[in-house]
Amino acid sequence: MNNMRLPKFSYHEPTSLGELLSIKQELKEECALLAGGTDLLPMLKRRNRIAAHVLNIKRIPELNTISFSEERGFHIGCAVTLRDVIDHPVVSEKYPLLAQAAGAVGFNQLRNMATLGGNVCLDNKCSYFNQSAFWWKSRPDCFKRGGDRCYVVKGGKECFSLSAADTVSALMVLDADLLIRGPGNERRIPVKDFYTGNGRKPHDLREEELVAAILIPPNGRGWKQGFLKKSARGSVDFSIASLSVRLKMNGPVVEDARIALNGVSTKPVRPIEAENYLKGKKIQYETVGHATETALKEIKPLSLIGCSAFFRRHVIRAMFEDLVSAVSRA
Amino acid sequence: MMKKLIELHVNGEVHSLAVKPNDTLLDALRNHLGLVGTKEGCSVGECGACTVLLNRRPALSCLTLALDAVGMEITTIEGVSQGEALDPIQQAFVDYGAVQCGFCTPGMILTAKELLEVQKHPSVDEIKHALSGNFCRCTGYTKIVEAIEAVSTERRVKS
Repeated sequence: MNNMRLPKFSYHEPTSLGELLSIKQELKEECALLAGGTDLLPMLKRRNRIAAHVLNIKRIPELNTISFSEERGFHIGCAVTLRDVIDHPVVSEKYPLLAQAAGAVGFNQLRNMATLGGNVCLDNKCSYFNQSAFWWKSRPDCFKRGGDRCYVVKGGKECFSLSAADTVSALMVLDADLLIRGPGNERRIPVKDFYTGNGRKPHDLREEELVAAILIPPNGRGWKQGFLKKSARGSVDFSIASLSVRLKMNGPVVEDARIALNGVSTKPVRPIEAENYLKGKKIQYETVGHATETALKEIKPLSLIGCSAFFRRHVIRAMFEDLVSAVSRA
Repeated sequence: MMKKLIELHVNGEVHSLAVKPNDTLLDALRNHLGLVGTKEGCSVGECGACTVLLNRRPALSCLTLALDAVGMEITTIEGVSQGEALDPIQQAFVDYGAVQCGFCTPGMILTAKELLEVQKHPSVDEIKHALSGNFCRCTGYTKIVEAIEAVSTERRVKS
């Protein structure tokens, strides 16, 4: 498998955030940040991505810490592994949704390596783009490779690749923020605003910046939560859809609702109208059904990663009805 | 490309070797150290054949840079037995006929080893879940799961 060897690159191992940002600024050529490497290395091996420099961010202590306080909630460094997130006692007790979502990523070995920051910054996936260089020799480049066409949506005027990260919907319904650091600047944005919907450049992140931490506010009282993911096979496929639901219940009545999906379109989706419809409603067969149909109107599923838009819509309908009722009854 | 001199802690021994930045841990183990028990299957993190234990947790050596493994405690299949005496999991694989072509076996055993350390008596579903990242193309999963179950049962009898 000679053609699947890693390309040549130079390797850097900064030990502080300041050092990392200054290296990134100095190097004019394209840099790749290495955290878990479970997505970066396959991308480099298939030549889906070119990087003259690889910067290992795992030796930076402040990116590797996870801390919790009752007042401020969670501060999770971007290089904390999914396994450490799942095993954190407070996550399993107060944020089961996040533990379930992180547990739905790949399989055992991958979760031991992959990081939460890496999952948040996962590049969009595509059954065409993510093929080997050899495969791409046989056809003209797509938008994501700098070409002029999209193979997913025939005649499409932009890139329709799939935003597939499993933890993103969970972070969205938990009202999480991202702490983004660049040389001399620091900004904090809600997770939902981080995704552009442009398959070529799916994240609102400048070349010199990185997502340093994921901030999750304290879980208010009365909220119930749940997560569901469906994929063709359990552990090796990207999702058909992943769904997170968080409901604030007062008896059988919904006081407040947060719903998010990922793995369905070019960016994660919050079906706001369905959320608003559910507020003040009693959970019963008709209301859940109506909320589901409302949500489906807000989602435009793609035919991608071994699943047609038609089937994806069916799966989402079933997942949505199941999860909303299950969470409200929990 | 500059080679770099590193030290790797493999199976309780320290090895010095010179690696390129784009050498994976799998390359280092197989080509530099001659530890060919670890296999290369898909090389993109889908099959689990290259599984090793990094700091006692199963991880994929094909997606770990050799330079990144510096300072980690690495266990390969060669480090599982105590000399000639097989590990109980290895013995169970032999006894239950869980080895067919043998290509997935090192990864299976290392994944199972960590599972049985974390959970004393996993259920069949838990075993299947833990092994879901290890592919056996001979599809001999039934006997593999039986072998791991047997180790857990034997433990229960002894204790």
